[in-house]
Formats: sequence, C-alpha cells, structure tokens
Amino acid sequence: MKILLTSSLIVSFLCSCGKQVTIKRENFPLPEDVEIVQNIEPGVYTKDLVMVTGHGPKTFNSLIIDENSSATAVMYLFSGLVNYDPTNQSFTPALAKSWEISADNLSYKLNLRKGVKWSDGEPFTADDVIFTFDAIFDERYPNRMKSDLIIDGKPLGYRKVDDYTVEFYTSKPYAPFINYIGDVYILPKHKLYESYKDGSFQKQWTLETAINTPAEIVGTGPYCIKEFLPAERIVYKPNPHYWKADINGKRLPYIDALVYKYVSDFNTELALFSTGQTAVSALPARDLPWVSKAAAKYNFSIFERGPSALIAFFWFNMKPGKNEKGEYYVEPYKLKWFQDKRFRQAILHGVNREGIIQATMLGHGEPLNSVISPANKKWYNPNVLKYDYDPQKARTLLEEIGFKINDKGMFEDQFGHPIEFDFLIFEGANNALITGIQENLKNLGVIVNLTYMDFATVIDKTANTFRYECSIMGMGSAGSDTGDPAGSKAIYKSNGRLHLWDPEQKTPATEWEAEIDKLFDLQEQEMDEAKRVALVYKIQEIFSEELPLLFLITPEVFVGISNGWKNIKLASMSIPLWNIDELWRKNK
Amino acid sequence: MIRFILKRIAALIPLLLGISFLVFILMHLTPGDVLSEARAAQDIPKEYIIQMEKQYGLDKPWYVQYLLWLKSIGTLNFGTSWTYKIPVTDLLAQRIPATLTLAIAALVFAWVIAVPLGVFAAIYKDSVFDRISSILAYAALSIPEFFLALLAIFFAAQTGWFPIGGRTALTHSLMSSWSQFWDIAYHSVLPTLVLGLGGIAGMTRIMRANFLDHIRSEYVTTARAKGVPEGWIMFKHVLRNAINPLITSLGFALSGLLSGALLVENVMNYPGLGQLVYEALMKQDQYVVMAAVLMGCVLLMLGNLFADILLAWSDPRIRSTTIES
Repeated sequence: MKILLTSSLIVSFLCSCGKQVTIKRENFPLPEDVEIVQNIEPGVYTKDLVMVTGHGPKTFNSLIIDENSSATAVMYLFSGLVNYDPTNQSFTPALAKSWEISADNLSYKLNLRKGVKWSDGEPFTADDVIFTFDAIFDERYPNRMKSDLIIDGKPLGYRKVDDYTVEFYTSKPYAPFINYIGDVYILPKHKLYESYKDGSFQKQWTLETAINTPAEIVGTGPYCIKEFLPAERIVYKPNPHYWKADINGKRLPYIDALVYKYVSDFNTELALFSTGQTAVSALPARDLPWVSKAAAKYNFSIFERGPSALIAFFWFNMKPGKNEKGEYYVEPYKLKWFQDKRFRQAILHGVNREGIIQATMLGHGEPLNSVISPANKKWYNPNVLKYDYDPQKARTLLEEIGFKINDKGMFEDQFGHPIEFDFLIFEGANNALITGIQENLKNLGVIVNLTYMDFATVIDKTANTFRYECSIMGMGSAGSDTGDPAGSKAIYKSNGRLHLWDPEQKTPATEWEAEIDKLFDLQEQEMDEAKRVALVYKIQEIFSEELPLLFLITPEVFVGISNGWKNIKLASMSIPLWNIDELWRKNK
Repeated sequence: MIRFILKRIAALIPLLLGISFLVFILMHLTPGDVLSEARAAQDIPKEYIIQMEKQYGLDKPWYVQYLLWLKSIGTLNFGTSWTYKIPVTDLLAQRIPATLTLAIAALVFAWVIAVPLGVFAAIYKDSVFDRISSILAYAALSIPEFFLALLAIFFAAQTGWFPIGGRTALTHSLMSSWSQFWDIAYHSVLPTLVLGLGGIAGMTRIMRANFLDHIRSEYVTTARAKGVPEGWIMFKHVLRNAINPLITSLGFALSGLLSGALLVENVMNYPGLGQLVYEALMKQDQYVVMAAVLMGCVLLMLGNLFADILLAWSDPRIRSTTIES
C-alpha cells in the first residue's frame, strides 16, 4: 500500500509537470484607433507569469472597492480614460486617445478610441463612460471616488457629445482633474445597466461570479478572468479585444496566462520566489543576503528600485480643549510643549535616524525630511530643512524653551514636570525603529513610555477620542500612485480627517496651517504645472520647518525578478511590473 | 436513542443563544470596526465612511444590531458579508470542503499512528521503543503548530519534494479527475502531517497511560490465570477498555483541529475556512465571524454527541446508564 501510494504520488507529480496551461489566442481585427506601442522591444507570445499577492479580492466590482487586495485583482481587467506612466510621471492616452482643455480651463473634451470592444465583443462607446459616472454619483451606491469629483461643493458635470466624444466641466479650474478622471475604471453599460436600475448594483460581480461565470465580468483591460479559486489563485487570460498592439501589429498582452497566487505569509512568499516558483517579489533589505545566494541557481536578479513611496512619521497630539466628559485631550502643560515648534525640532534632532538605518536596514535607507517621499520625483522638494542627529542642538533648543536638566540628568520644565510622554504604537509597527527612538531620547534626557495596542484601537484613539500624546504611522502614496499631492488633501488641510495632530479644525488653529490651506487651494487651481510644483514645494517647506509630523526613514526598495523578461521598466512610484501588457520572454 | 439525540440537540439552542450574545458583545467592545482600515487611508473621504456605517447598520446601538441579527437567524438567513457582499453561507460553503478534508485526514492520520504507538509503548513499557516514543511525543507537543508549518515550508523549499503551500497545482483544471484527486492528495501531505503531529503526541500519551492502568487491573490477572492468550487479553479486553478516553476526545478533536487549521492554513496558504475566519476576525466582518462561531459550536456539540454514541457502542456499561435512561 505504501509503495503504491508513493509511486502514485510520483506519477501524479510527473504528469502535473508535463502539462502546461495553454491558451488559444483568438484573432480579432485590431480596433480602428488601436494604440501602437512605440517604445518597447516587440516580442513573442509568452507562456505564463506567476506572481504572489497577500490576500485574495473581496469583490470584482470596481466601483465599491475600498481596499488593496480587490484593487490588485481588477487592475488588469479594466481601463480608465487616461493612463499614467510612472517612469516619467506623466499621463498617457488610454480609452481616451486625446483630450483638449478649453481656454477658460473649465471644460475638458475627451476623444474616445473608435472601434474598441469589450472583452465579450460588444462595442465600447461614450454611453459606457456616461453610465460609469452616473453610477458614481448615484446616492444608492456609496464609493470612494465620488468626493474627489466634487469640486468646491459642486459635482463635476459631464455629457455625451457624440458616440466617441465626452465632455466634462467644472465650476472652477481644477488642476488634478485628469488625475481623477483617469483613475476611474469605465464599466460596461450593457452588462450592468439592469442591476444599476433595480438597485442591486453593489451585489454584481462578486466572488461567486468569478468562480462560476468568469466570462460575465467584462472589461477593456489587457486581461480577463480564466479561473478564480478563492484564497488559492486567479488565472487571467488575454482579452482578445485589447486595444494595444506592438509595431508589428501583434496584439498585446504578450503573456498568455497571468497567475496570481494568494499567499498571506510573507515567509512562504519568499520561499516561493527564492526557489524560482514565482517571477517577482518585493525583497526587504534584511532578507537580501540569503535570497541573493539563490539568485544564480534559480535564475533571478535583484534590482534596486530607489526610495520607498511610503512616508513614515510620528507626531504629537496638539488638539486643545476637553472632551464631553470634561477630560483634557492632552494635559495643558504638555500641550504647551507639543505646540512649540522648537520642542518638536529638538526631539527630531535627538533621534539618530542614520544610526537606526545602519542598525536595522543594513544601511539601505535614508532619513526622510519632507512630507512627500523622494520616490515621488515630480513633487518632492529636495531643499527642505534637514534634521541631522545633533544632541547638542536639541539640548540648546530645549533650554531655549525653558527646560532645565534636573539632578537625575533628565529635562524638566519650570514647574518641575519631567519631559515624559506616552508613545502609542500599533502592533506590527517597526519595533527596532521605535526602540531606537526611545534610547536616543533617553540619552537626550527625555523619557518615552511605549504603549502597544492593536491597529484599530490606535486609529480609534488618534482619529476619534483624541486621548493620546504621541503616535506613529506610515502612509502610502495616494491618488492611485500618480503621486499627485491632491490625493493627500486629508493630511494637509486643517479641516482634513487625517490632519493627524489636530484634525477637522473649523478654522486653522495657527498661521502656518492657514498658510498651508491657502497654498493647497492655490495649487489645486494652478493649471501651469511648473507653478503648481513650486506651490507644493512651498507647502513642503512649511511642513519641514514646523514639523507637525516628525519624519522618520525612507527605506530603499528592492525587487527580485526572474531573468529573461523584456521591457521591464522599474519606477519607484508603482508596482514593479506595472506594464504587464508589454512584458515577454523567449519561450524555452 | 432518538429521544436522547433530540434532547441533546434541544440543549444546543440556549447554548447557541448565549454564545452568540457573548461574541456579539465582545465584538462590540473590541475597538474599531470593519471600516477601521478605510478610516486610516488618506484618500477615502469621510462621507463614504459615514454612508457605509449607515449601510452596515453600525450607527445603531449594539443591542439593536444583535436583535436584528437574531431576527434574520430565525429565518435561517445568516446575513451578508460586509467585505465580500455575498451571503455568509455561500462564503463559508466555498471554504468548508478544503478544511474538512484536511481536518479529517489529519484526524485519521493521528488515530492510525497514535493508537498502535500508545499500545506498544504500554506493552513494552520502559523499553527503548517506549523511551524514544516519549521523547518524540514531548518534542512534538512542545513545538507550536505554526512553527512546524514554517519548518514544513522550509523543508519543501529545500528539497523540492513537496509543493510550497497551496491546495492544487496550476494545471489542476486540465487534469483528469483521477490525477486531480492525486494532485489534491499530494498537496495535502505536508499540511496533514503538520496538523496531525500535535494530536499524535497527545493521544499516544493518553493511550499509553490508560493502557497501563488497565494492564494492572484484576480482570487481566483473572484472564491470565484462566490461560487466555496474551494477545487476546491485550487487544480484545484491555484495548477496548482503555480506548474510552480517546473516543471522548474525538468529540473535541474536530473543533480543535479546525482552530489549529487556522494557523496552519495561513502559513501554508491552504485555501480553507481558517484563512477566511482569521481575516474576517481581523477586519471585524461581523456576520462572517458570528456564523463561523456558531458553526464551530455546532460542530463541537455534534462531535460530542457522535463521541457519546460511539462510546455507548463500544462500552455496554455506558449504553445502559446514559442513553436509555
């Protein structure tokens, strides 16, 4: 019995190796307005590409998505009106082949590609665009896109000019307009109109649809769903009607079967990549030494992608006043410290960020000094105020405020309160980093008490009850990776929900906050990009001078990719294989 | 007999009510809700969060939420998952087969190994075999399952003999049904081993201790005096008496394995219930968690019932006292 079992296992293993996922390409004529991709090396159809992501999608309905796993899953299924090229941070044509802005900057005419078809063969027209925006603005279907398209309290206007032209208009000039319009995936009216009308729109295109009838989920993206197994994997096949081709007239995408495996444990993900079973993986600096040993054997290379797009920071609660129970949000004497910019500057001068980088990231990182990550080249201001590790300067600043060193060698204020604060940390935050901060500040003469709580509690305390003194957080780039600062409105503006140190102010509490508000509104209306960048530079200067957020560290990002893939274009502001439809590799 | 079963099932109802109430309160007391993640994202507007709170009924007090939930349970409607937007029952049904096959395979594996191992360790007490099996059992008991799962992944990566996690091969849908079966079996080897190993260790120790108790009892001496063959005494009389505690433990085993599967599934990316429930708990997808807790509870009760019936079948003394009265 035992022998039989083993031999059957081997046999089954052999036959599963012998078979390949084969996909037959259907030959449909290219659309009239096909996009011929110029700047790539034309290639051949390639068997497959296997990738890993943490969690499976929750829905395939792009309108109701509010988390990353589903956004990843639908990314290849749909197209927006405008695409984004992360290598030079510019907008490129997608379903709209061109667009014109009127002289008064108030209306945008978008010319749609003619002859484009949905993956089921139905024609794509302006009706689909209008339908999508109708759905976004429908009261019955809450979604995260809507408020970005409401400018100064007035929803964006839109109308169909003819079958291949749509016009959008705003009540006042709005610079990030194309950014937000391009962001919206256009949905097929012929598939979803019925459910839109009868109110069941949110229940369309669920996991059940993808399991049982994947062909129902139609899009204009490079791929459609071939097979979906919840928590296991999704297999995509090329959309036979995709609107891009290479210079030889060969329809993209090149890869026949695109596979995402769902692996929630990162160790398992690394094991899969380092044994050559997946084509790409993000690699934390600490794992580089051992992963790189396997590179020759399993035929992959490691690339440096530059600084991370994430910004990490800690901050002090500066919310004045009391809650309904009459308790102070922050003890008044501490609030006075926290509101003093010299205090915040002193603390940051007292943290040895370079040392922490050496100790915990093997030197692969740099101190962050601006509210925009250096990865975001277009908007990042390299000339903001920098805070080197300088305990002497930190002490001088603290003494300037009136703090004195007591007999225990710690700082105290003129009433004898030692400088001591509670640092609220969510489970899973970077412990080495936080311990480093605590040690550095102790040497400076400042006591930090660490309090660990789960993520939801930290959010509740920092965004709802406001009873905390100091906390830490990291934020990804918003605005769907275009890095447009308009996406960070909730942080910058004093009435913002994530204006963390003192959110949702009725009127700006300080002069510099009022100044940021003003600059932010100005840049939103500035249509000249160079001038807009200058305004955003100014905002960053104020942030770095006032330090409401005490910036931490930007790690360098590494990615491993198996060898032989052509047309890989790495960019720091995107996922590694953002141009999946252009990738190919010689078949073995 | 049927009355006994009905009585036990009737007893389940107040228990389920109590447990669901407790879980609901606990979930309410836990800070945050299903929208916590959205609240921390900089590009999700406040209006959206308020609208979603309303849609999910999170703006109502918890007891109203609980009563509404109870009302829908009364009509056997377990609600719709907030994150997946599909009925909870559909969601659980997607995952139950994978977890159930894994749990049952692990259970069978554990019993097949543990019972003979315990018996032989008792018969040959203090022998080299007994010593080695104790050492191994203690070692297996002291390694947490998730760590064992990580070791298994490492083993698979190093040797290439087994797949690194997953339940089916990429080409699964192209296979004949026979090779599909072997494909799943092949992928289940490591998770079954990991999940079963802890059980083996514990059960071997219980089996050994019980067997030793019974070897020393008077009926064994009597049987020996009458000249009954030693093998007959051991396997017919002692084994049957000594196995009772294991049968009782069977009732807990299934629900225990389901919770053990949670960690193993997460590390070995096995697409089962454990992964789903873990994610739902983390995200506080309320109805999914409630349904999963109820299901675990029912499984525990049914497992116990099944074990009691099995016990009655195996032990005539129990049959006369508990079931027929």
